[in-house]
Amino acid sequence: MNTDYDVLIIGSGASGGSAAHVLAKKGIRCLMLDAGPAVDFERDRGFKRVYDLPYRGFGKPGRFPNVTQANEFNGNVWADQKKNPYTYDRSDPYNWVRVRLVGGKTLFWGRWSLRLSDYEFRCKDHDGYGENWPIRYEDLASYYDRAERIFRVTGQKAGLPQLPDGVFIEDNSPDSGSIRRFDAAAARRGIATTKVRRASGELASSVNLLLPGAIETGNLQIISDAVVREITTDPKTGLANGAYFIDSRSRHDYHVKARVVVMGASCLESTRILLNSGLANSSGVLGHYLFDQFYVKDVVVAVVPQARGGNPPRGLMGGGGCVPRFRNLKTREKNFIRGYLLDFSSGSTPDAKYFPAYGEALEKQLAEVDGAGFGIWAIGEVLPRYENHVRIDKKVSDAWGIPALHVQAKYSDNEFAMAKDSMQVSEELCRAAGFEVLAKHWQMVPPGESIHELGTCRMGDDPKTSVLNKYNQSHDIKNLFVVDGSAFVSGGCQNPTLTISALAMRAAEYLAEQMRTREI
Amino acid sequence: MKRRTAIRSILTLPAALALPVPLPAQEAAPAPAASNEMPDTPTVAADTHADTVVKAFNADQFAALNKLSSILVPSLPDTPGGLDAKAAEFLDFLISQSPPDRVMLYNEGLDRLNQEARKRTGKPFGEITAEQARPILAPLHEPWAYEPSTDPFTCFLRAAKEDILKATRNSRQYISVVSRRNRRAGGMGIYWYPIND
Repeated sequence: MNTDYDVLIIGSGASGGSAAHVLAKKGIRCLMLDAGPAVDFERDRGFKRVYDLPYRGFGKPGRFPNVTQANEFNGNVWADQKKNPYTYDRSDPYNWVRVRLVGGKTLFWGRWSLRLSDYEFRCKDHDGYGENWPIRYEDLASYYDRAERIFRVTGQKAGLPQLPDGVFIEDNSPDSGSIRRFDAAAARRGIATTKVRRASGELASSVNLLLPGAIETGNLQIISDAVVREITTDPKTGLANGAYFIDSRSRHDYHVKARVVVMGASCLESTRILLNSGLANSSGVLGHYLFDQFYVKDVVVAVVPQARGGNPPRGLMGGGGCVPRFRNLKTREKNFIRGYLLDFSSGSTPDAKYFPAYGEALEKQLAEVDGAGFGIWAIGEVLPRYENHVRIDKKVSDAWGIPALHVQAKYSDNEFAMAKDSMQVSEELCRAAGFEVLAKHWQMVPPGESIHELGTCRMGDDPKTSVLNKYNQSHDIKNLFVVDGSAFVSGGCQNPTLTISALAMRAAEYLAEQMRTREI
Repeated sequence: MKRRTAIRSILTLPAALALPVPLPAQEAAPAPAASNEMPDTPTVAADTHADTVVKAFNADQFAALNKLSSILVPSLPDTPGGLDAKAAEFLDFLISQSPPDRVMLYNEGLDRLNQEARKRTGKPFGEITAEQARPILAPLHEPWAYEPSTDPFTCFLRAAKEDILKATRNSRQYISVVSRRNRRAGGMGIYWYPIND
């Protein structure tokens, strides 16, 4: 049996799917491994009433201590923490949220599709902290265009340098009255707002947008339930030549050969595989500079007074928008560098916990604000710092005997100051819009919870301080590429999926050309 | 896969099996012919036709939780409350399977309700009125704060308020009534079955 492939792609989500989308169409024979099964929506999903679930929607207690997104309806889509353990110090909890299915997290993502700008790519030039990326915005712009077309991103051009416009399906929907009031309050303070930029369609995943085109070419084969243990190398050349994997169901061990290995197993899984393989770490920074984006959920919960009474005037409520980063662009904040964005929405009903009441009084208060809520989440940049890192915990292994990760991450004063500022600004904007502020806080979710984990295998021009070059190619092993979020140098406050997809397509274009010219 | 196979096997029954066999004319009106079609056998839900066996709490604690559910989420003329939804019975089941810190929070909180009620009225919490309970439940009238209270009793009351509300609103009894006047209250969701099991 000839099992030699041109390219072995590990992972089938936004990064692996984007790489396969490019490579297969160029006639390159790819084999893709994914640790999870393929999903069949017809077989795997069905409508149920919440009271027909064993736990009335509460979920089985203790099943997902680190996945706040899990509920009793979707509990079976998240990676089982007992089979897939990881460790962290009790004082510094880390929520590593994983999906092990073909298509990965793109089956369930929030779909916000935002471009990074040179405020991120050239961040060190701007404020002196950290490292610049080895690329500029213009290097990635055309790949953003491609990714936006594939993901059918809706939006409205705004002309903001900190959030570059893209190839949008124009969103000309009218804003509700409450959104217009909020936008106007922000504008009076010199703060821009935009419509949400979001992938559209009933499903916006790798499974329906990236993989089908690659499969159609006949150049992509996918093995599901394939848990990769180790990347293998040719002892003579030191080049990557394949991978060992375990069939998660039968537990049989396999090896597959390929001319090139492309890793897109997700940020921390790719790094874990490399650490377990003992590869690509001459710099010593593999596993370091872990960061993500913090959330302050419901940083402010407000009520639109004119919508009180349970029957808001037509057109007043509904919809949402985004306040792109506005801090530290032309001016400098005293207490923090970088910035955050605000995600706001109108028309919800505030949670009962915000009302100091119970019984009939509570019911009356809830009825009074039914549909009158205005909520804001803050999403902030977390600085990449060497000490935030992952390493192999040799004492703990997963269900297949593969050593697990230990994650060490905590926020710095910069994030705390930024979170506090996001609350103050959100409150000020709501009050200026004439809304009643019901509750406010600035407590960030634990690191990891945003599911935007980034870094640990970062790009850079200097092989002594980075793992990958500007094409996501290992400095140490030229036929090894890492194309997921682990390659990020910094993350801004923009949701990273669109950038991951664009970077993976750019790396795949480069790889294809290198293979064509026999450089690889 | 099993569900799909089962449905397919039902749909592909041979026609001779799926249709009633015609009887000869002279044998008309014998005992009714057995149908070979799978009948729709009606069943009822256990929680509406049977009593839950209490596991997590002792009798005093359970009575306190039951009373608390009737006070925090009372039955209104057009809306079922915590008692109708058997919120206390459900929470007994939920807490019986919960991590130790959650079990302790409830056990100590319910005991405290009984202590406070006895101290003030000479009766356990399960036997006092909503008006008598009002000073005991005073922490629920304090403004919301993100940080958990340092007082375990306040933590318990906040947790119980949230849990009783959710247990009530997600109950068959509540949804069947409220969904008649509000389609959003149908309690329907997309459920993911175990994948590839």
